[in-house]
Amino acid sequence: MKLRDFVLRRIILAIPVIFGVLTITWFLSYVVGDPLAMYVTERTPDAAIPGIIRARGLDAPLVVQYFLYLTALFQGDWGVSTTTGADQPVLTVLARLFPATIELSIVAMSIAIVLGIPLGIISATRKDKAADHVTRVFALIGVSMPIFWFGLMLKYVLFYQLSVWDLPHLPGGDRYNFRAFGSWQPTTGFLLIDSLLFEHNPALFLDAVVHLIMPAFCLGYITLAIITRMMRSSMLEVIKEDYITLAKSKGLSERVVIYKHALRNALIPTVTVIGLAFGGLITGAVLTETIFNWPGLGRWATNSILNSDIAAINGFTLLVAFIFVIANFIVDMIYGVLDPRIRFG
Amino acid sequence: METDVQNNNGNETIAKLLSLIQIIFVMASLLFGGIIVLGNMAYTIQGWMGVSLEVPAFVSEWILQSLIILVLSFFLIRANQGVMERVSDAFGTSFYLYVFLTVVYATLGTIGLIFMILIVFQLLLIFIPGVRYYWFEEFVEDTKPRIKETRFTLHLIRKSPLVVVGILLISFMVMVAITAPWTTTYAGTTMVFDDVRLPPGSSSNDIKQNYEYLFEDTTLNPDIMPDYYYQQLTITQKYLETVEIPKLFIGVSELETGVDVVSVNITFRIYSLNVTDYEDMTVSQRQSYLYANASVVDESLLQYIELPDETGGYVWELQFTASQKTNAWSVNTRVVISYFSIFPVHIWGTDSYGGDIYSRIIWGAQEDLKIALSVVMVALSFGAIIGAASGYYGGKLDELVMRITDIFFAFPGLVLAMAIVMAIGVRSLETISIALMITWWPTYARLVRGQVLSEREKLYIEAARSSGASDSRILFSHILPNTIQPVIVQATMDIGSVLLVAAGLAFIGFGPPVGTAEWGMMIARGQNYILSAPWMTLYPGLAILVTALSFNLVGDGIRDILDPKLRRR
Repeated sequence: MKLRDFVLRRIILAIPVIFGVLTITWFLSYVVGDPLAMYVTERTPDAAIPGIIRARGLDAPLVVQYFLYLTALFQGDWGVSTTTGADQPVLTVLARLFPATIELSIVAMSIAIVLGIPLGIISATRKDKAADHVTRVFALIGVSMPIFWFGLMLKYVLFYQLSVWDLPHLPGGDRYNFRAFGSWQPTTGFLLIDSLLFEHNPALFLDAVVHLIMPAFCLGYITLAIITRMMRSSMLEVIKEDYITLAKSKGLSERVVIYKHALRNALIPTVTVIGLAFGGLITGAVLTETIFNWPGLGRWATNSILNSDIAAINGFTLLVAFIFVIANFIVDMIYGVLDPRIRFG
Repeated sequence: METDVQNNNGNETIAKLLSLIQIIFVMASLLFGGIIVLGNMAYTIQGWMGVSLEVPAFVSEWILQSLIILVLSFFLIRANQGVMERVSDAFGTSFYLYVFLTVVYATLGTIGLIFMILIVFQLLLIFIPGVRYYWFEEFVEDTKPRIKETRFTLHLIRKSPLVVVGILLISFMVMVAITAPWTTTYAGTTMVFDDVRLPPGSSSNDIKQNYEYLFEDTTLNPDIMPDYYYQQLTITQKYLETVEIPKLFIGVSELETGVDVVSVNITFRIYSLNVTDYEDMTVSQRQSYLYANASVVDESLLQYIELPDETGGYVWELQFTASQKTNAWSVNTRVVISYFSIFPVHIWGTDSYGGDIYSRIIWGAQEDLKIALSVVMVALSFGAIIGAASGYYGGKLDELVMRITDIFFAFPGLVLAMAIVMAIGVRSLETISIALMITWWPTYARLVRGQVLSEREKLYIEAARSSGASDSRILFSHILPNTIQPVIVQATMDIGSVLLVAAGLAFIGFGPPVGTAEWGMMIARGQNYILSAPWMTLYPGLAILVTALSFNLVGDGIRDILDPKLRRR
């Protein structure tokens, strides 16, 4: 199979999944929940409700409602969110908050990859030694730790305790120091990019970096643990292969064998895990952002839960599912490129 | 215009018809659920009564599941009423919900009943002397190699320190959860309002008022006149723990003498006497030891008497004297001692509502383990059945199931669970469990399907098929036992992750509004006080960490042990 056919096949396979996602969100909010809650807020006058029911087709048969829902979604009408104060279209809010979450997730992912892959290699090459045990327990703790608790503890130690002892400490929350810098004009929405390229304000950039450290590490730890474990087990498998023995018997140094021969092949399953973990990161962002007061999608979703803002949750679920599907798609692509056998499978 | 009216009329008839069907569905499903619950309870109680029936653990699991579904269905119906009131035309929206619920009930109910019948039948067989299980010899012969294999696995487990530690931790947590009533110092929902955010190890600022019922009766004997009660009351150090003096409350009210016109004299006395001395003395002799008394005629006697602040023996005496003998009379009588005691020490501090963290963590172990275990069990059984069928029969069924799981996999677990809880609209731990069950089953369906696919083509299955075994026999007694190991590993590790996600959901605010001791909610309660009262957050988080870690340790270790590539003799 050619690469183009492979890509096409994957795209065709993704379409039913996307429709399934739409159907599930529709089912949840229209069949199980109260469909009217999507479009009615506390500020809606009672007299307007019958009009909304008629306009939204809530009195129509279910099948018709389903198609109305799909049409509305494709036209960019994702309901009205009440969480941010004024009633705002969900899509607008999503677009505004999305960059903050993505920025946090990308930094977290970078931390996880940069630390996780070497840790996995160390653990695999020193199997059953002290370093291996330490790394394994470290990784196990990472997958067993409630991320929200970890965040709170980090905040307590690195922000509060250090400031009590008059030591330099990390900021306890927020995206940047609002008091020092005032508001900024989002161009791309990524503060790290905007502050350098558009605001020309290196101090703001540094401040943003300092604010990123704690939430990003908190968010990245689980992914770090997952990557380390995957890297370790795939490395262990690859090391046993014949071509590694061959490379060793050729007289190549351990370093060359591990980093040139084994690493490339061991990376393949790790790449999959990284792609899948990206979706998990956005989930984790829900909890991390709440704790670090990060103005992204996650905190907004949590607030909308407390406000019983169904439209917001629906929009958030849809967006996250789309990201997840796209991430899986990209992983499939990379997998296909890295391992040609998959394409012919 | 005319057509509109006609349409409306048509709609109304359909609406009536559908609501009738809805009612029938609800009744049917409630009936089914009721049968399961009652049947299970009867069976369990039979076990308690000492009929020496061993009640297997999953029996009570079935009770739990049925109860969860029953409770939830009530909430769902209530939520649906809200929809019906606001959108009267939307009669169809919750119709499918009832269909779904009924299907769930029917499945659970049938499985539960089959289990029950099988168990009862087999137990009966055991109790009839001379009857041997027809499959017994065959069974022993069949399982010999498997037993050998299991022994070897156990040997490997014993050799692996991490797994041993994990198993010990799991048993510890389970023990903690089971023994909660005896090891806790406070109830899970107790709030001592004077003890808000006390640091670990501090004693309580408040004192606790206790009541002890000495006497409680509503009927008196008309044959004994005067009707007469007395009882020893010993004031021990227990009643004098605080500076507050113990009080004896006497309440006699709602005197009914039937049709007769009688006047009743009610007298209450306390003597500084022991009961033996009291019995030896005559009425006039007792008078010199009288400590306090109260009496009324034809009225309610509602009064308290402060007892002395020292230890000693007393006798209280209650006497009803009627002006003439009557046939029937009744009166509501209570003698209650109220005393104050010191609250136990808050070992791990208190939270912002004055709840004791230590006790709440132990009660929370019950809640959290219950959620994690029930979610994994239900998801596992449902997913395994679907996955096995899909892998074994293949074809269109397989394709359909895999597409459905694809859709479920398109959501991250927490987000889908969030959406489900939000749609159900009831904030409770049961809703969280249900949402997680719905989220988790595809994992097992995929896993089991893959295992069954790889096992299906093997030679021994071919042999079984050619010797005429039926599909279900091949699937359940040949394929499934051989695919169970990775499933067990996955389930063990999933208990840890379900615990984390459930705690996360409770943390976000999906738990019940107040009170319930659950670890995630305890952390949520503590997060606003993280700087001033870090113990509110620290201990529940450690509990989650240790529990999840123990399951992960076991799962991780067992996976290595069961891996055929690493398993060398």
